Amino acid sequence: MPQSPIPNILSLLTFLPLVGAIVLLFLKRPQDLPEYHGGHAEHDAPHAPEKHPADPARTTVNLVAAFFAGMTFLLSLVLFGAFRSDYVESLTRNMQFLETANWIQVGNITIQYQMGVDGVSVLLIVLTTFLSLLCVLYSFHTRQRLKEFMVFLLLLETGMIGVFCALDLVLFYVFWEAMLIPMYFLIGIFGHERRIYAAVKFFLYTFAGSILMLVAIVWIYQVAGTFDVLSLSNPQTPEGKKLAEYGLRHPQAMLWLFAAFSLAFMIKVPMFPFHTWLPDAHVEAPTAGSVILAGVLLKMGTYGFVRFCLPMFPKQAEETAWIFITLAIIGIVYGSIVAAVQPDAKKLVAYSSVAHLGFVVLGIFSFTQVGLMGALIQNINHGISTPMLFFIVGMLYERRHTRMISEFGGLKLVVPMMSTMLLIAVLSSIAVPFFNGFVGEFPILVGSWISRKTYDIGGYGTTALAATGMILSAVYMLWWFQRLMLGPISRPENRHLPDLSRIEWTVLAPLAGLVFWIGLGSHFWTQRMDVAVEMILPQHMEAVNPDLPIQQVLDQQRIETLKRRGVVPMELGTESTRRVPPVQAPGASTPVVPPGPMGGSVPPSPPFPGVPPPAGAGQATPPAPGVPGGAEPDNGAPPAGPPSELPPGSFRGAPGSGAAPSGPDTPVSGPSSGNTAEENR
Amino acid sequence: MLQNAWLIVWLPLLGFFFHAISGLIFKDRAAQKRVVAYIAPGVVLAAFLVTCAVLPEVMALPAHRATVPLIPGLGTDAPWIKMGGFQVNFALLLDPLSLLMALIVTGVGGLIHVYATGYMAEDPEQPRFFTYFNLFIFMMLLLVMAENFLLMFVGWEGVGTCSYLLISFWYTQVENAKAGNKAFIVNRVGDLGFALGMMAVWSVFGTLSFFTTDGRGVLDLAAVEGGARDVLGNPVSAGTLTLICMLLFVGAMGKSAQIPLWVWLPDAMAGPTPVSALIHAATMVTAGVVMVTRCSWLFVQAPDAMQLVGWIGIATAFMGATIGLVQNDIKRVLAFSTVSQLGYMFLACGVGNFTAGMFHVTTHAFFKALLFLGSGAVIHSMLGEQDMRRMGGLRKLIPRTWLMMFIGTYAIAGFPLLSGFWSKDEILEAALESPWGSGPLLYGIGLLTAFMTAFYMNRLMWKTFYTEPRFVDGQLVPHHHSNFDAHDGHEEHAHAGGDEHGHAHGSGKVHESPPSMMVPLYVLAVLSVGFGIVMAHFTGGRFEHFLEPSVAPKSLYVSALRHEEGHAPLIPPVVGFVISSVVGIAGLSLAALLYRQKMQTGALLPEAEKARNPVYQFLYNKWWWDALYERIFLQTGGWLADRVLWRLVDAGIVDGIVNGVAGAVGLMARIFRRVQTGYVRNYALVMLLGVVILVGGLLYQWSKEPPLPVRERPSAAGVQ
Repeated sequence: MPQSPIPNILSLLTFLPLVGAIVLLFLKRPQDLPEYHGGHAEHDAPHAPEKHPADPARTTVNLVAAFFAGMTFLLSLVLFGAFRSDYVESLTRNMQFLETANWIQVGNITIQYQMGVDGVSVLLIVLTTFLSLLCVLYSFHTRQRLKEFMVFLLLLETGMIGVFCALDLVLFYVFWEAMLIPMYFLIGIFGHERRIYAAVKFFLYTFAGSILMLVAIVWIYQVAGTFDVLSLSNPQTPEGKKLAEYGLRHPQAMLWLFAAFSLAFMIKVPMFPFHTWLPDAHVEAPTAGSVILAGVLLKMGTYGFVRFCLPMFPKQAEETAWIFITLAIIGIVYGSIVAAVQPDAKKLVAYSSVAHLGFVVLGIFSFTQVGLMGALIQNINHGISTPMLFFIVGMLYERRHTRMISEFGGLKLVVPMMSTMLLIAVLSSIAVPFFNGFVGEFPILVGSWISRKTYDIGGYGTTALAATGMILSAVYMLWWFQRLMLGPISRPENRHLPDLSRIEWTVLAPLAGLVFWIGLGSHFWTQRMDVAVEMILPQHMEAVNPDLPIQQVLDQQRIETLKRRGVVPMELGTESTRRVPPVQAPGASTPVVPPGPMGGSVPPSPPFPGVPPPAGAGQATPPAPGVPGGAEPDNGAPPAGPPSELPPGSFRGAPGSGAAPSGPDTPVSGPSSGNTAEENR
Repeated sequence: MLQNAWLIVWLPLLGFFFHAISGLIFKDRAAQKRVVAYIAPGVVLAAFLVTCAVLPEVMALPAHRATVPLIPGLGTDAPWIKMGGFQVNFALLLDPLSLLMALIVTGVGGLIHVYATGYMAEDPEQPRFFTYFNLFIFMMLLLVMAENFLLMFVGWEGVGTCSYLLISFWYTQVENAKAGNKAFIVNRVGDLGFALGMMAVWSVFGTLSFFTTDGRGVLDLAAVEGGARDVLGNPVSAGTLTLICMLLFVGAMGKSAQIPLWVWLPDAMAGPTPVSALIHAATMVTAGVVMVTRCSWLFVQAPDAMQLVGWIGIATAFMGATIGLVQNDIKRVLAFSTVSQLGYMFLACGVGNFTAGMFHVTTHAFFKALLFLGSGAVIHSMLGEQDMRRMGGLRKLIPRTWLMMFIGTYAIAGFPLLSGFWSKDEILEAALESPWGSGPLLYGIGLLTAFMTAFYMNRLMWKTFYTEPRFVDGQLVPHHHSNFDAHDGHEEHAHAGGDEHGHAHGSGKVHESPPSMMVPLYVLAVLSVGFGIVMAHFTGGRFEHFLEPSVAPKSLYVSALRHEEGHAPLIPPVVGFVISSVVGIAGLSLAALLYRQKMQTGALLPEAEKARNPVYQFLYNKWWWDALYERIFLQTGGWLADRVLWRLVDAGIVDGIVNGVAGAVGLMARIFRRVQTGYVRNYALVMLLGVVILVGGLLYQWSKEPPLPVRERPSAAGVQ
């Protein structure tokens, strides 16, 4: 396992904001600034926020909060830097920086404190710390109860990081619920007019979902005797085997367990028809709350699908994929259409989230690696573009104290820089290529196109319907942008709004930078998730439409990749394991190969996508013991494209020849190649 | 030089970056504008020179094709997207087709940049204009030089985005902003087809690269002897190819403004005139033709798709020409002319003569840019007036501009020996020989369209230049186009320009345009006159030969349709020449004859007559396409979205259920709260009642059967 430069980095990362929150509690409470009188802005002088006498307590609180959020962010960057994108422990284990300790022991029930990250969570953690820092910065000028606001933000951060690190079901559940509390207060205390309604609705709705998940967690413990996520998601461990066998014996019960988990995540995502808490919560929350809500909280739902539903209930997930795909597509189309007609600028963004997250869920349940990868990067993308939109809507609200679109118009003339930033966010949201949205949305649609799951629902029309989201997003986003920023200045109050302040620049500029970094250099980000995606959706679970020629190519590539990673593709050739995860313990022939070539001599990942590692670095690695032919060392960015990675002989019926060459590399085709694993060893 | 071909696309990109931050570098707006005005055309023309230098090197290669890195320092396999087996690289493809387009884009584009330095000189937002303009050139170059479908798509959407930004450049007028939205959204409909087409391509061919060194690119596989092969080496069915091609063609319909997605192009004229010339006439709108030509290897094996392309092309050509007959806005006439000419290009592709289509793309780029820039000079001279009903007599006032427009008109009308004549004639001949039949019909409609083209172009000339002036020189009211002029839209005509305006405009007199605008016109005029005859006649099929490595040969298509080759043409080429010439001259003459009798009004029909004439209304209202779309999508769709989906379904039903559940809980709580009276006697009574019911029930049970021993507790995990 790669050593982190700082011991117990995950715990440190998780609880550093908590420490910050506690420190803040001991600080002097800053003077509240007078609240705006609400009402209409006609009475307010249209100018920059008025100057108030300097309040040292205010500055201290701000600085302390920023310090802890900043340190957490730096620490997450250390984690990101130390994260090894090619680390593979075995066919099913790739968690890094694992921390395990016994936490609660009552009788023979053990609840572990277990944390670890893979490529999926590490990116989400960095996103979380990044957005939290921006929110702290943005909230410096919070008028009332500044200290409490910062305390809640930091508490929230702890909860969110914990959710992405936890690898024990109970620990996960604790963080999952703990994070509701600060959010509840953020909406309920600092929100707008209908904040109580929204806060209670948000809390009860998500809580109702997660309480069922708790039942399922206990149930799973009854069945498998552990809360350990890693064992449960691996049918080759005793516990995982128990769960899988239970699923075979009691498919109905297993389906209920899956449903309980899924419901919690569906509400969180939120998927149609569980989405109605979202517009209320988003609209009523203060800007920082909306940003966190959209940027991170929604991601927990999709993360839950990827971390729990797919690995623990692969069969159930596959069987019910059509439901998720259908709801996701309804979410895309319906969310977009409803977004278009919103008179409230913030609500429009909220509904757009429903549509965007629909894409993410579609990618996950397309059961293809490309779709899943697209979904995971789209997760991140949405966590950048939507916070940007919310920040800007918040900035408009601060200037005018209204969110109604009709109150604006022609602002580009007055606030050109803000308008440019908004345009970047809008184009990112529309998924224009070279903006980040595109590198998420397009692979998702590719995955959906080649997926058998989507094809079975309505042929290629399913994907085409989902892809109309491309058009609809342009409709509502551009129309929105036009009504806010273009045209004549329709209201005299808007004539003298100030453009971006320094702190607003600080918040928006990094987000805009990330939009292009991901949009242009997606490989830098996605290569960190390659291994995780291969583990979450291994070849035998992938559901590529077998009618498409690409299916065999992809199958072949998966085997090649596994070999390159130094893991023998165990039993991948047998028909019995193509759709059902192997339940029988493989006995003596464990697929676990010592991570020979990964022993630390592998050069670090290239700093920029596509930069090939220095020549010779790869050859320095000795061939893996026990792997015939010497597994190719993975250098993080193999320069060859997919077609050229295939040995020429592996094409069956290549042009001109028409004969199918046979051999150990022959693509998986049926039970006859069941001895592939033996031959490879 | 070949390895430095990335410079072609990077130069405009660097220009874009420079302009974008120029506001930070220069504190003085005038200095900023001056520097920008040199850099912007400079980088594009420099890119043109690099392209010229690269061209012979590529043509010297045995395959006439090279793949070069897009990002300097990285290989051609630097991945942009690499996810789960789906990989797309940053690389450029240099071959005759891409270089031809690069020459047009940078050459004509460079000239239009020079022109724009004059045209936009007075706009305070000139740096922003050139920021978008250079970005557009970058995206367009990416589109035509992309090594794979996805990078082409990047350019494809990128030019769409720039087009959106430039159409709504004068955003304070809300119609412009709406036109920009319309262009983007309608284009997105097409892009959807393109995107789905790419997915289909990838799932069949396993890659999105056009050509690869190991011969596994999409077009490599499509060009295999004996029919296209998929990634596994099996033949691809005609149905699959047809699906792919039709999806891709949907993309082309959007970008190249073909029926039914043409509606955005006329509205796109809201942008500054250089934008109309560069984006909406010479380059971007021909991207669809380029794409179809690029995929010619796929299209020729999908006869149904080819037929669709051909019919859509001829129908659009005809429709555009009919609408062009009655428009009054000088730029709109040219816009419909563009729609119509694009139809011709697709007709050429549809009948399998891709080189003829590309030839028309090239000549059209010259003469249509000339016409648009000329009309821009007219508009500039008229201080922003675009309505031909308020023009007339300009020949004497701006003779040089008139000469340029005259040349452009005769070139597009197909006057013998000018550029348009050669390319159009080639298309008409190809249509007559249509491999899927209907040749004479296509030829007939094509000729009719050519006739109308000549007519409406000369109508434009007469209305603008020859008839009596319908304005008073010296009293023109400047139509200022600048976001800082008309603040609230109500004061459109107010001259609020301030210090940057009004040197020549103060007088309200018609004036010839500055040299920066005229010089590009002269160059384009020379090309409009001479390019066709040089390429088609003097060098005998040089153009066709040049494009050969990039385009599927017609023979492949013909064999796909099992037509025997080598039959004699229906009419000899000379006769075709004569017919084309006669039709063009006839159209020009008819317009001259008719308008000569209306020198005073410059209108054939009085206004009252126009309102009554249903044919006129049908044509003037663009065959009611816009009205139809507005009714369906904006009104009905908007109503459905607002009233039904949001207010009824979302707020009413979906959220109603949620709130209903909560309300039901609350209601139950309110009911049961009554029970909690706090009086012990009530509780005692309830307890007593409970005991009575319990005991009674038990007694009743026991009276039927004896009591059972205590049952076993079901195990917790034993739920079935």
